[in-house]
Amino acid sequence: MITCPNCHTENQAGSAFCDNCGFALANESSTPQATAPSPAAASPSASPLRAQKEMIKCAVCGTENDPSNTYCENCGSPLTAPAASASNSPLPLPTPTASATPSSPAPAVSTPPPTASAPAQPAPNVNLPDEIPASMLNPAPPAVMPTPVPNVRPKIILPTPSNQPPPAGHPRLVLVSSGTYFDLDGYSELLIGRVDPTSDIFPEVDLTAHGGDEGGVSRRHARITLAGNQYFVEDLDSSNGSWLGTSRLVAKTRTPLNHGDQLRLGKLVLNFFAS
Amino acid sequence: MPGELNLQIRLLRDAVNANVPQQLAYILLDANPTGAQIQGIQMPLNLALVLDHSGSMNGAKIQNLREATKTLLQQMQPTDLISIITFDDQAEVLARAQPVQNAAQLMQLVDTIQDRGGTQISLGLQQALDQVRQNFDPGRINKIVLLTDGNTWGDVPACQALAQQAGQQGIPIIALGLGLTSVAPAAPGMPAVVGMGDDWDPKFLDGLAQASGGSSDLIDTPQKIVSVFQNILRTAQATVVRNADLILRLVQDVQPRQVWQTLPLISNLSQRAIGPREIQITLGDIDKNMGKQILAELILPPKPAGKNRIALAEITYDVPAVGLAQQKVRAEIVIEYGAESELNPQVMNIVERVSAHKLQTQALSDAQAGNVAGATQKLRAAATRLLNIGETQAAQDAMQEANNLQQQGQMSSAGTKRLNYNTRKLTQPLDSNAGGTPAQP
Repeated sequence: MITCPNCHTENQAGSAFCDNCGFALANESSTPQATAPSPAAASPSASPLRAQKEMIKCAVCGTENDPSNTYCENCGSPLTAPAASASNSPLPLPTPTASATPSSPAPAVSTPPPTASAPAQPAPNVNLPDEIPASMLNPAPPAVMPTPVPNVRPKIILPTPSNQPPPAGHPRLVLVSSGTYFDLDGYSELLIGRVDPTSDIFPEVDLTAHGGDEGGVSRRHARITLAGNQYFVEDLDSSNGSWLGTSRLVAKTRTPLNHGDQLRLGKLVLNFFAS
Repeated sequence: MPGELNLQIRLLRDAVNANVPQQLAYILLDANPTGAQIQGIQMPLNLALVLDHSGSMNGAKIQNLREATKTLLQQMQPTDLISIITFDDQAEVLARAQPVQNAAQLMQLVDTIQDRGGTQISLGLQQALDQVRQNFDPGRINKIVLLTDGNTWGDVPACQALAQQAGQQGIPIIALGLGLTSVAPAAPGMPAVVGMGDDWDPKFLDGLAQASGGSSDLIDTPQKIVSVFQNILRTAQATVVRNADLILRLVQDVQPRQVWQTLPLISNLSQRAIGPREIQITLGDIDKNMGKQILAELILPPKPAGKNRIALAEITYDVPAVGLAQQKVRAEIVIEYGAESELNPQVMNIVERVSAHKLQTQALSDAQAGNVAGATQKLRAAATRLLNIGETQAAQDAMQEANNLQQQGQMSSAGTKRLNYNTRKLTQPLDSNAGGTPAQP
């Protein structure tokens, strides 16, 4: 179930719009809950039946099907040599058991394991110096943050905040407190602030999930524009103000923003890199 | 013979997440008559026009009605059958059912139509039914086109009974309401003002449409009568596929949630169409200009990665002009479980229009129930949806009514009518003017 961020009504996972208020849900990620993969992989004992050109018995529900069917009439599972179920547990190598093989096609590519689990966790018994802070022993921070795209047409792509730096040469903002990168490539103008769908405010750089609220970031806090090769920043009359380095920005006044400059919006500090 | 009706399936997402407990899938089905044989067919007609010439039709209305009718006559084929009935508090058969062979003569008759008297629709309808029945032919498109600007006086049950008869005899009624400047709804505690302006009742006309398997529409200004008539004519001539029935057989554990017709007009079919393991829709007539489009929302069970059929769609239909009956076309609906794929933008567009429709329909019913806050909020949400899909005019109309509601506690009556009918046409290209709400038989 997805909860509508606008009116908090529960909606069926996969719904495009909230049943109650019409808010666009299509880009809300509904985290798939991994259940134990059901044994849909048919045992090879299904194949001998097909060879005789008679009705095919579905390996999942047992219904007899006409040999010309691709999918079971009753439950819809594929009737031909089924793809092995892609398990959700990222096993590095599938160990073939005796029964699993010859007629089955190559096992379906399992979903790539999340990047977070890639770096090996240090085993607790390894000789580690005592001074290593606890944070280093913990798994890497969660992988890519969900894209903040509440009520926009699906085709628009916003700068995805990430813990990996964007490709070299891309202009970017780095949130100092968390090390999150916002790739600004391709934008000649963007808003920084906090999303508010009810007031139709959708800043390209949304700091809501990054302590924006507590840090005193206004919904429409600042704007970065690109004119020719020069970036500019402008405070949009925010409640708690914007600073470029140590100088407070006068509202609605475009000021040149240069590589390495530090921007403070309310209490949040961002470093800007032009390339 | 396969090939006269093309059935196309599109999914909002071709691939959905595997192993999710339950998720919604949107399926768009398009049924379009197709093929060389079909292209050349122009269906012969058996039409009755039932025209209101009561006193309120004076001026531009009666003038435009006459002109629109004459234009219609000129556009019909010599083999088409036409009858013209005029009514006020009596009915007169101006032209009995006859081939449109001498259009000029018929046009002269039309010029004699004058405005006078009150409004008794049932009398006109009765005559029309008689005229069409005389030459009823399953090979023809048999229809009654009713146009009125006011409310019928004291004979509503009679009209409804006639509409039911018409439905049983396969003669749909296209009920057209002329004019927008209708009576304001009664303020609480005050009597309604009657007998002034274009006070035709959408519910009444919708009722006639539903009972007869026809449709209902709004003509907001008299100048638009001619294009509405044109459209009715063109659609009727292009109605090559008839008696079409769609069955969507769902596989185990797939549950239907909602079903909508989205072309030519948006309407919710869920109540009648949904059964436990299948969705059954009577598509009826399908014309080659617009075809018919259905949006089905299905709840999918969890499955591991891999392709799965979720339903089988089958349409049975006739093509009477070439002597074909009980033809079938079928398509498998298969979805891939795995990693969620991108949204199909065309399907998303339709889903968004249906969402705007739902919001507006709900807003209208909230407003009527006196829930001003709910109606206002929904109209605003609808406006957002409409802006998102580029329907700026419709969005403005919705915002306007939201403001009216907020400031005055009620919607303008013209606004209510306009919203009511335009909401059904949200899936149509601008200015297409195709004929009205479908009824659900």
